[in-house]
Amino acid sequence: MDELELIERLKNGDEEAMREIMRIYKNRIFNFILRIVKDRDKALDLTQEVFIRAYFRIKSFRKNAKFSTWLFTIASNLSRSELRKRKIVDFLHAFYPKLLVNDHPGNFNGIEYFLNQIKPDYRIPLVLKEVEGFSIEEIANILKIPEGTVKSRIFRAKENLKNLMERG
Amino acid sequence: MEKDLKNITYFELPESFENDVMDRIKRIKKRRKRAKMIFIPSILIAVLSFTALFLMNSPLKKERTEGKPIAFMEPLSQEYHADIYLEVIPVKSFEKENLYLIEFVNEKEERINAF
Repeated sequence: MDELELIERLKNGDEEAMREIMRIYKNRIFNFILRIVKDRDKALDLTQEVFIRAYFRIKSFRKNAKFSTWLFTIASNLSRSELRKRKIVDFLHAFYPKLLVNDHPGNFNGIEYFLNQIKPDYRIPLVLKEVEGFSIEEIANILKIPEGTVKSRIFRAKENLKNLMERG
Repeated sequence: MEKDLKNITYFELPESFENDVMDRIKRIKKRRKRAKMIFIPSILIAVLSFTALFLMNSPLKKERTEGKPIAFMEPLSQEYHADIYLEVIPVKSFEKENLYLIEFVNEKEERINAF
């Protein structure tokens, strides 16, 4: 079924259309969030949140934008706000070590291990470009930053990744 | 490196994911509906209670219960007839008892209620 038709049906509150959209995007969104937050439970929770927000805010989606870009914008915003929250928790952890119950498990292997060492500001555009296959223009739309910034962040991310891999 | 990134581990979510999300959506819808149902009557009650409070403390209500206030800025007049004054005392509310005839008998003041 055509994606635009699915969106139109979703705007009319069709639950089956919502299920179909989830079937198409759930794995991409989950993997994208997982690479940012590095915590499977949190990533699963945030993926659910992405689709819930999409369901209730579908009327704000404009047809001239790509649906996947819109969905990834929600995912990116939620992930970044999760990272911000975590920063506060980490800050508190420095003063009150007992507060932090669950540290972020990073059971990743190979390139993912190194990818997770890169700063989120660089990691997110790199994942969107190389893993999710978005164009520079689309990434700029998702992250609401200029295309030049996207390019430079991807370049720096690759440089960092290369250095980390060389160091082993 | 780009090739490695393309072949990165791709996790798949279970089939139950859609059901979980739809359940959460239904719960949120139900909660919002309930909140809306409570919100409208509570707004109405608040408006009515504010109106009642305003009416109870309004000057209109005061006038009805205490009578219309009459305030004279200064004693209006003192009429002199021989040794008898008619004094009008400035009062907030008019009472019969506030009107006196004042008679002077040998420079001694004597108040006589006018009514």
